[in-house]
Amino acid sequence: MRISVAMGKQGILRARLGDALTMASAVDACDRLRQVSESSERLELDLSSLQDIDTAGVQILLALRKERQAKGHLLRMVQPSQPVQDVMSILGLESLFDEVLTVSKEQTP
Amino acid sequence: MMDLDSMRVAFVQEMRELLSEMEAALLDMERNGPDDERIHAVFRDAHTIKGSAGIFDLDHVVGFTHAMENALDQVRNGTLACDPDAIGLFIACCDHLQLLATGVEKRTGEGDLEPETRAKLVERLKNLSAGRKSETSALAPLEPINAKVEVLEGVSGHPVDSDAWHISLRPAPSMFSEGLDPVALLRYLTKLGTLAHVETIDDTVPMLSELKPDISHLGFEIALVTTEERNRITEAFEFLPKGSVLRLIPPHARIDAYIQLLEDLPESNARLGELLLACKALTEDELESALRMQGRSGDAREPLGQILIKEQIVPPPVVAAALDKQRKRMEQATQESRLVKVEAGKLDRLIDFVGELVIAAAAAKISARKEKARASEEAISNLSHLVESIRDSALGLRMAPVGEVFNRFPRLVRDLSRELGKTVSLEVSGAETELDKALIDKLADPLTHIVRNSLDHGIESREARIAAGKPPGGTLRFDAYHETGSIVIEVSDDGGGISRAKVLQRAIDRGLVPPNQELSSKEILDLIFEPGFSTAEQVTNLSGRGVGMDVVRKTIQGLRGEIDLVSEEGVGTTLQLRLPLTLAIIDGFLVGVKERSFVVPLDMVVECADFPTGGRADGEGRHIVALRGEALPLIHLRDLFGLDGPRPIRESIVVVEYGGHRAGLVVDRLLGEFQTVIKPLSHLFSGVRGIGGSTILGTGEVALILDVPALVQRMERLESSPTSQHLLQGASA
Repeated sequence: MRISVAMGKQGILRARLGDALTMASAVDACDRLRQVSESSERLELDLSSLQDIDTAGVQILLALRKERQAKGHLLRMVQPSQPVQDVMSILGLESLFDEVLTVSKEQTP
Repeated sequence: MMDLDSMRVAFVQEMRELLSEMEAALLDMERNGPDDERIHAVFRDAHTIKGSAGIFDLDHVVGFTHAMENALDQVRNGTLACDPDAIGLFIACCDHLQLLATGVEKRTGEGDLEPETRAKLVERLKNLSAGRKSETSALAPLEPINAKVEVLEGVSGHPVDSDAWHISLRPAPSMFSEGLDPVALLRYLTKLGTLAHVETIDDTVPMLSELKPDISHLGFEIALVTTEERNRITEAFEFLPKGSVLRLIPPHARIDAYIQLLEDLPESNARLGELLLACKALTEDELESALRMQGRSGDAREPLGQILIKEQIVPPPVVAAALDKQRKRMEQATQESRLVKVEAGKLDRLIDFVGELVIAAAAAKISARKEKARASEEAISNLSHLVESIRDSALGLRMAPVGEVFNRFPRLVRDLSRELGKTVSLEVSGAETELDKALIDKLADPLTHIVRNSLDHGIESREARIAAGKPPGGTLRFDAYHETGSIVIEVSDDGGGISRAKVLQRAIDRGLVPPNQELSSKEILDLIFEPGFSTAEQVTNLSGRGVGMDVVRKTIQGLRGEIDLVSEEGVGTTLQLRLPLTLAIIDGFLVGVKERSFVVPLDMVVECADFPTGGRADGEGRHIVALRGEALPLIHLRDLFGLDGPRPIRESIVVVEYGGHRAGLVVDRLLGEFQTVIKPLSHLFSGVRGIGGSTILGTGEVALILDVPALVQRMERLESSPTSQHLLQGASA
């Protein structure tokens, strides 16, 4: 999995996930996301280039959300590609894209 | 809990049922070409047998069905052609499994019979697979069903509103590495119906820093709206890896089922409640009442399976297997529209009691009438109605579709026609016609014999048929229908018919009739039913088995039935069996002669008429009377049973009909309708024709039940020799 990072407004780190987030590359993807997650308290995942995701991939995103939630760090998932939308909708997880996860209200844009 | 022996019996029974299903599907494909549904069905059946056999450590069955399953799987995914060769081989495999089932039942050599045959079949199965596309030769062994699957139906409480299946899936943590992707599974479910709601449960998913991405922590609560059968749904989950747990709750299940779900799932009640509400499986009120009910029952409701494992009574795999079995049972129950299997003996006892009840009710009625006790009479009249309903339903329990016996014939016809080198197609109609199960079981042998005869002697060879301008393939027809209190079963073929000349010649050769006797066409045909008769010019190993049509006729007569033969040379032959619907109880018409009572089966009574003899003796001599311009032969019961004494001023005629023939029974008194239980006559009286049985009247008096078919038949024969006075010898009451 490719991840390209860029600094956005309000100190939000924008990480664009590319290609696939699946079982085949899960261990690698996990490591990279950990690094990204550790590097910013405000994180936005851009899923527009993510063409393939499976349940193992979804679990990684859920684990990331858990961690951000527990630490009170912001997480947004935005611009899901069509394949990602499809998978999320079949799993009943569409709401992931609406939520902005953080406990610190003042940081919410 | 069931002991192992009775489970074994259940297993053999289940195996036989599955095998006959399998055979039916295979035969159908042989006739009508491959069919995906049926291949799947055959595969599932083999798979189920394998699973159950595993429980009993029947390794030879497991190994064999495994080989079958591999080949079937290839057929299923299209890598192996579903051609007649393959189907023929699968049918042979079914036969072998039938044999193994018998072995298991009788415990001969651990049920391991004919290992050489099996080895050959396995070899052929392997060759079948290897002979085709090679990329499938390294076929991975099939996973047995390893997941724990429970269908929670609930036993008490009110049904819930939800019209969706609630599916609670907790896949094994290893699912990702086992190649299972719930997304794919859910996509498959959308083909079965509408995924009304899915909740992905991530409660136990750890933080990313602690996540091992190849271990699944997910669970799913799914609401599926579908009209599909339960087994179609569970099928979707067939390849869940070991350690997965699947719980299904059908639409409108009782609330109980959800209580059990709440208890079984690891999540907290509050969280589960939330999920169930989200899935719209329960309304808020229903959830509340479920939680209340659960609180009341406390821990006492621990699932039996868990108790067993905890107490180390049964090792977990056995319980899982048993649950698996239970699940299949339930699936089967849906398929068979919820059948309950009852031991035949229990039913017979019930029918016996109902019989006694009918007699007791009749006695009460008679005594109330005698005492002119109005209130009692009315009460008893109500009671009688109920008893009648009970009688009808009790008898209904014994009724089974005649198709049960017809089912065996497609296979027989297939095998026989191959052996004889003829092409014969079988047509069946009226298979749903019901009759007494006891009769059905006894019909198998005579019908088999009739089918053999038809195929062997009736239907001609292809060449002969073509020469006669007929279609090259013959047709055998089975037909069943109800007719005035009887069931009629017809077996007809479009073969060469029966040559009367040959029959007569054969009968003369065998000394059955003197050479110069004049016989009607029907009488000649009836010679076929004489002991030791065979018209085949060439005795084949098929019908030359020493069992003749005489045995068939005896069997049918033993069931109070009749057999009739119609045949036209060059066109075909029809055998007609006419049987009573049940052997146990009849609606009778009670008549009196002197102080004796007789019962005429009501369904054979056409009407009653006066017979004014005025007590004169000339009534005695009259054997025929004109009734509305038609001649009606008479049977004087008083003469028939040797009841002497003065005749009353007015006698009555009870007109009876059977098989298209009418006769008048002359009696002293008509006593009205009477429902009664047939008590069979003892063997001592088995030679007496004209009496079908006896019954005990409410007064304690014994009444004889007249065997109308026999009487009418006698009458017919007597038409040629009207001088005989006593139809029955030594049959005085």
